Amino acid sequence: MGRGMNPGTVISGLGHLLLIAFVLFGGLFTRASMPPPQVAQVTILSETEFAALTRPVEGEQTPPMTDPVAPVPPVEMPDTPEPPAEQAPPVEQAPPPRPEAEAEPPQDVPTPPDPLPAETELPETPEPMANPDTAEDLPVAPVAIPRPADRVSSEPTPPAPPEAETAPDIVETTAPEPDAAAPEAVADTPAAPEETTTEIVTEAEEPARAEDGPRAPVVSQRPRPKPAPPVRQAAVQPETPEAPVTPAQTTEAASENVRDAVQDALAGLEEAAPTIGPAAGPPLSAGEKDAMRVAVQRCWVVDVGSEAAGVTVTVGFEMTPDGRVVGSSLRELDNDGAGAAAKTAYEAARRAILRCQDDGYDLPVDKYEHWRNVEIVFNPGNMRLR
Amino acid sequence: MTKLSLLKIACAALLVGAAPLSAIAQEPLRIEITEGVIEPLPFALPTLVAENPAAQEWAERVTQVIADDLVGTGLFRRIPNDAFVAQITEFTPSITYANWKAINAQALITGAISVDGDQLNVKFRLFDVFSEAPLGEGLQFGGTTQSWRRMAHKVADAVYSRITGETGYFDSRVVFVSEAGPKNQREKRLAVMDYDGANVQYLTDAASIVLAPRFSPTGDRILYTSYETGFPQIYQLDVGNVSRVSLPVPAESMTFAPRYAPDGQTVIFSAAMGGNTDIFRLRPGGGPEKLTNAPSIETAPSYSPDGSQIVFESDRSGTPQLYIMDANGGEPRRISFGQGRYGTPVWSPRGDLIAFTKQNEGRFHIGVMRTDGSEERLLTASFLDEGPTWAPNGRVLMFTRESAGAEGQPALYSVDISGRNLRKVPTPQSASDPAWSPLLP
Repeated sequence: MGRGMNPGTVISGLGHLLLIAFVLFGGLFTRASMPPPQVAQVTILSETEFAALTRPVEGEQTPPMTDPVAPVPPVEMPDTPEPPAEQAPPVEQAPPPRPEAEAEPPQDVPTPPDPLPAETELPETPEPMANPDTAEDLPVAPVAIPRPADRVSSEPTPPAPPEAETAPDIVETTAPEPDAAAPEAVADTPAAPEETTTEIVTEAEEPARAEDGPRAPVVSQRPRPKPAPPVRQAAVQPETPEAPVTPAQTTEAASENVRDAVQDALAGLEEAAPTIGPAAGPPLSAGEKDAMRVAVQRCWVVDVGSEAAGVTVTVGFEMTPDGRVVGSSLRELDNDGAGAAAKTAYEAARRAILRCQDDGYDLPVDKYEHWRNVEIVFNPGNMRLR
Repeated sequence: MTKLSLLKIACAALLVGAAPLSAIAQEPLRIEITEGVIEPLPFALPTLVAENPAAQEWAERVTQVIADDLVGTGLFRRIPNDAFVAQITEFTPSITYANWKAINAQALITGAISVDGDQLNVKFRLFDVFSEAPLGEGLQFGGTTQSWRRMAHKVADAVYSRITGETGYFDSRVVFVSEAGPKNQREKRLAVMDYDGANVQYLTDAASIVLAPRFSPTGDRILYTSYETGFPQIYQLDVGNVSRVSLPVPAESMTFAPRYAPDGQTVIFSAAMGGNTDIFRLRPGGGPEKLTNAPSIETAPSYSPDGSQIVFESDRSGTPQLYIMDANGGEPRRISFGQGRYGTPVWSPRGDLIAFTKQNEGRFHIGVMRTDGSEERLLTASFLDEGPTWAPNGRVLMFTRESAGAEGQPALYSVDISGRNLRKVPTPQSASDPAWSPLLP
């Protein structure tokens, strides 16, 4: 029995120890879960300070700034809960100054003036910047400032979201543009014979054209996807500024950024995939593809008044290393028309391919594997009569 | 973060793994072209080979008509014969394409002609030079020497059809009102001619004013309005024997703007009775049927190609506008909503467009719009353009253009539905009110 008791006490002792350890671990877990959100909020505050304090806001909004300064001191460490309440009013005061500075785009930051009071301490803000990546380290500091961050963050967030939303929208538009982006510039240059024209000016339109001349062009330029190039930049830019500007949304914004990044990576891989051919050399550049497009385009005669002008046809063919079309390989891959119109559309496309090859299309020989097989979509949609 | 990064890595890994697979197949270079050029297609047409001495004089004439037909469309450009690198001396299917590529001829037409008494025989072949292949089989037409122009038109129609994929319109005729004299005392006669202004023949004398002739779908009869009795009445004229009959229209009414239905038997027209103008239908063996019943003026009816609908002009909204109603009448729907006044609508033989006359800001226009009123396009503009009529293939419009001033004279013009290729149709005298016939058999 005595031996039995001893083990029991031992067991109970171990049990207590385990419980104590459990409690300790539990506390750790809770702490672990808590810090992340705090960290995010803290970062928001510091950055807003940057935006507001560093440049435009100070000079113009100095008056409001001074008022908040008073609340700032308490905010520093102990009075964290109270300062937010006091900061709220300054935030309301901030709006009035906005109208003055409305002309300037940075005004979006005006909301930050709220954080400014707490951030009057410029030295502290720079530190987080120095350790931007060390989010884990920041949590510690946040503990003191987090509270103000919460309220402040809720207000500034509105401006931030628009940025995140705009980015994706633009990205979508970019998708179709990449291919035609470069062509645009070239599209106008490829003027063919003198009698050639890409627009129809009826007699009825001539007088108007003499005045402004925009009517006909407006119709023909309808398809131009110019936004392409800027879009890409926009898509790229948002990422860099977002990190510093909207730390409050680090979790959401970051996740969106990651998704975008993944999509970009996927898109890039998809584009790159075909070029990774065996012994294919580097892929064709946009300029090289464009040159080929323009070369065929200048020989593609479209009878805009015909029913064939309503048919999009895809023609496939093989080419020899010297850039010549293998005539027997020409074939119609697809069309969205029917009957004689589809047949006529294909014949016009075939003539364009054959007629403008001259002594061979000018394509880089070292990339032959990339253009050995070609598919050209002849889409007269932009030229149809409207 | 870690989950997302893992997902990112996983997705990338999958794609990277898939990339080589697609690369093995070496996807073709894919290009999309959305802008072409609008220019006439250059063709070579060596003078037809005369297969006997008697055919020599006809060879040049037939060749010229074929060339004029094609060039007149604005879609083709003939390469001068003196630019040829090689000459065609016999009607053979073997062609040295390089010779024609050298002069940038996209199409080559070769032919031969022979004469036996008053019988003329014309044959031709068409080649796609850059594809180095014939476009269709060779064709041969036979007829009398008197119909040599028709044979030339037939050849041109075949070439046009093979290259554009649409039926031609060269072997067709146009009935119109030939005018002479000053504006206040103008003599008007009905006349018919080839679509290009050749072979003019007069059908009526200048004793009375005639207006708005319209061909039947078979081209053997003509409806027109005459003031022979002092007020407008509709008559039907047989083109073969130039005999005419008056239609059984409402008594003591003014009837005008007649037009055949696609069946060639039913006739629709406008009749003014008691100060009101409405549209009536006259079917074989029946009496006039009133299709509209409104206090406004309804006129200028035109059937859709399938005969199921009628487009007409009405001022029920305050200004003349275009409306479409069922062929049996009923509530019409308005299709013109632009500024100005719309009139004389004509349904395209293709069925997809409606041509009209539009008056706006002091100018007249010939225009086209979709049958739902969308995509309105004005093709011409002048002091006075009116009365469009469609070519048999729905590709060209002919209309009347009258110049301003007391000395102004009407003339016939044609324009492509793209708004290009505006041309004056040669007529011996002033002319108005053209109506295109169907393609001749």
